[in-house]
Order: sequence, then C-alpha cells, then structure tokens
Amino acid sequence: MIRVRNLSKVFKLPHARKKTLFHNIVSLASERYEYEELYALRDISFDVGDGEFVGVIGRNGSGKSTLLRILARIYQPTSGSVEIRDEIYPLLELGVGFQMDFTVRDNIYLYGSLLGRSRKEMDRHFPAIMEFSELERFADARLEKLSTGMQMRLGFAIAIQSTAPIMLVDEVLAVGDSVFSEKCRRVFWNFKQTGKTILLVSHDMGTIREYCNRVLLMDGGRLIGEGQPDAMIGLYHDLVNAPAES
Amino acid sequence: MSGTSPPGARRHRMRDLRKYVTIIRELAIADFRLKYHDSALGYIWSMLNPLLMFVIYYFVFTRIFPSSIAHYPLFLMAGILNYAFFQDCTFSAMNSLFGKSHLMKKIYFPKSVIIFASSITCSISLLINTVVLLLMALLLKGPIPLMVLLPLPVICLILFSVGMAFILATLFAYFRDMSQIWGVLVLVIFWVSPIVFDVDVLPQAISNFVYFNPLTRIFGLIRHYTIYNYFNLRFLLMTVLYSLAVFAAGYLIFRRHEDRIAELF
Repeated sequence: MIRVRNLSKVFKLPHARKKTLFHNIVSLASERYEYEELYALRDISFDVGDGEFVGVIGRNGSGKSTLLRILARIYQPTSGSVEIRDEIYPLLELGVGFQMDFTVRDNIYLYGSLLGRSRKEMDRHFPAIMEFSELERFADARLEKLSTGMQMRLGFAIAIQSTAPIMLVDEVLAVGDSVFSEKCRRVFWNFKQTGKTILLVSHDMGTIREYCNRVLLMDGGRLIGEGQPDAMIGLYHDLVNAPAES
Repeated sequence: MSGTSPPGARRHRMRDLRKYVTIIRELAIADFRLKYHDSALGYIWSMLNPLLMFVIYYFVFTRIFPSSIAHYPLFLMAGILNYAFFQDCTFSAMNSLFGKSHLMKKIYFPKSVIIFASSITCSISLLINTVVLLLMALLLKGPIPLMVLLPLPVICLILFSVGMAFILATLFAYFRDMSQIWGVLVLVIFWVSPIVFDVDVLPQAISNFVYFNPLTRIFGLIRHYTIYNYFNLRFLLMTVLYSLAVFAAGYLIFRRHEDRIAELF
C-alpha cells in the first residue's frame, strides 16, 4: 500500500553553475545567491492499494520520474508525506545504474546485494539471470564493453529476481528486440497476476492500456487527473495536442 | 519514511544491517578487483609511489641534511607507508562517491556503505604494508616485545582516516572542488606530520601544535611499537580516544547529510 499526502518537491536550480566551493565563496562575497525554485511536484496526494497496477502519464517534465524517485527514497520530499507499508523495488531507467567498470558478474552480485539478497542466494539466481539476459558468454566482460541493448537486458533480468511486493517501473518495458520484449511482457503479466503492486511510468499508451487498472495524469508537477485508463489517455492526448503553455 | 510496526522493528534493523554488510562486501570485492586484478603489477603499483618517496627522502636526509634520528630508514618507512594509507583512504572515499553517483540515482541504499567499502579496500593495502614494515624492522633491527601492540595504532590510523574520509566525502558532495583543495591540504599535512623528521627537533611552541595532529600521535605509536620499544599508557589511550572521536564525528556528519547526497550528484 502506498499513501502519498500533499507531497511537494522543490529543486533549487542555480542560475550559473555553482557546484564548487570557489563559486560559492565568490557569490557570497557579492551577496547574490541566485537560484530559481523549480516545483517538480506540487501538493500531490493519492493512494495505491495492494495488487493495483497503476500507470503514471504526463508530458516530459511533468514530474513523473521525480515522483517515482521520491517513492523509492532516492530523493527527499520538500514537504508532505509518503507512507509505504512494504518493501519496494525501483526499476528506474534500467541498466544505467550499473557500474560500467565492473564486470557483468560483479554487477549482478552488487545489484543482488542492493536488492537485499545474500551471496548464497545470488549464487542460486546467477545462472537464471545469465540465461534470461542471454549473456552467458560475457560473465567476466566489463559492462562498458557491452552494447546498450545487452545492458538493458541484464538490468531487466536482475530486476525481475526481486521479490519485493511493490515495484516502481520507469519506462523500461521497451527493452531489446521483439523476442526479448515478448519475454518481458510475459514477466509483467505474471507480476500482475501474482498480485504485485506496480506503479508504471510510460509514454507508451499501448502499454498503459494493456496493464493498468487506473492511471494518474500529471502536468507541471501537479496531479491533474486520476481514473480509468481510457479517460486519462484521452485527457493526455488533449494536453499533448494543445498549444504549449507560455 | 516507510513505516514499520514496532514489534517487527528490531527484526527489520537486523535484516537491514545484514543487507548493508553484504552491499559493503560486494562493493569492496569489486573495487579491490578493479584496483589490483586488471593490472599486471597489481599491488606493486600501490607500493611504487611510497617506495620512490622513500628513496628520495632517504637520499636527502642522509646525504644532504643528515638526520640524527636512530634507525632512520625504518623511521622514514613507517611514516611514508602509513601516510600513504591516509592519503589513499581519503581520496578513494571522494572518488568512490563520485563513481557511484549513477547507482545512487537508481536505487536507495545508505551512502555510507560506499565509504566503508572504499575504506576496506584501502585497509587491505595497509595490512600488507604493515607486514612489509614489520619484516623490515625484524630484518634491520630484530624483534622487540612491543610489536604485539602494533595492531592498536594501526586500528587508530584506520579509524582516524575513515573519519576524515566521511567528513571529506560530505564536503565533496556539496563542493566538487573539495578533491582539489584536499590535494593541496594533504601536502601541508605531510609536512606538519613527523614523516621525514621527528617532532622533537621542532621548537616547543610548534611541536605542541604538531601534536594536535592525530597523525603525529599515530605515527609515533607505530614507531614506538616497531623500532624504539617505548611504552606510554597515557599517550596510547589519548590517541585511541582521539581517533575514535574523529571517526564518530565524521560518521555522524555524513549520516546527517546522507539522504541528500543522491540529489547533489
């Protein structure tokens, strides 16, 4: 169960690049501490019940990914509260979180440990992961030597070993070629049938329609709609086709 | 943020602890492999820099400005090898945090595991270096009873260095030029620690100041227990307390900022 109440997130974006101590001292001296407040999320409240498959849609920059990152505890909320009663597993843009200089094997064990798996458990899962990702021959290759598609496959193969009852999925179903994405679809249907709670961010309305019972529509950091997939997708298309806000 | 029911809280904490220990081990194993496995000379590389420094300072302080310190080669080696660990540990913490920035944007885990893992990797080199130093002392001077106490100052060195690593990593998260600033500061620290010279040659006013530096005390103890066979309980206890305090302070500072670090990269 996920319960979000009045959640807001403000990013302070400096006008100039001010990542160094030197720049900070200079700007302190000139007494201009300039930054812009960007409301990535504004006063968001919603609930997700156990076993629901909820889609999150919205244009680029509407706050979907920030929302998932806050649910995954990667970012801290500026105000409001998030309550999650179960273990969560975030699948945020697969593969990119790997350590490029580690080997495939080290990455698998590292990710396994981040998922809370012991080394012994990972020894058991290792062959399945290698098989699912079709990377058996590359176990000791450094990840940077692998193609993007291969990395994505590996990420997905590791992620689906998670037993967490809640999954946060960000735009990851479009992985690999048609054979692999068919495999992924089977896995996701399996998740759905076994009653996992899933929050899925996607720009692919076909995917949203296929899996979700309910859809959250976001725009400009606000939750502007919540309801049946077809109705929300209709609203989303209106937003996309409407002239851009100034 | 994620609520836990009170009766299960303790079980949760135990499970979390076990999980974090596993993460630290996996990170340390991969780091270590990265550091040593893929290079033909492996561990030798990490010795090359201190060895070269040793040769240079040995030449300078025996031929150009002859030092009156007894057993100067051992004295110098003890200083340089242990200073090398301090430098390695603090820089690795910052590099490692930077190197894991992708990871921390994808999945939640306590960022302190990164610092613990990089410190463990560095400590392995320190242990090898300590064995090398002991062998040198046995060879050049012979065994002394106090050698059994050597693990104490080595642990102090690790505690102090890891504490500093936590403080620097916190600063580094906010200010990316911390690693450059530290690059200059370690050079200063090199010369305000008794590495190539002894504190006793300094005027009283300055030597009091130098004793404020915990490295002075730690290097002193390491030399007492490998070369000079000198024991002072108060000096030892003060150094242990000092190192523990720096470690605790560093860890607490890092923990305070831990949850914001992912947003800063």
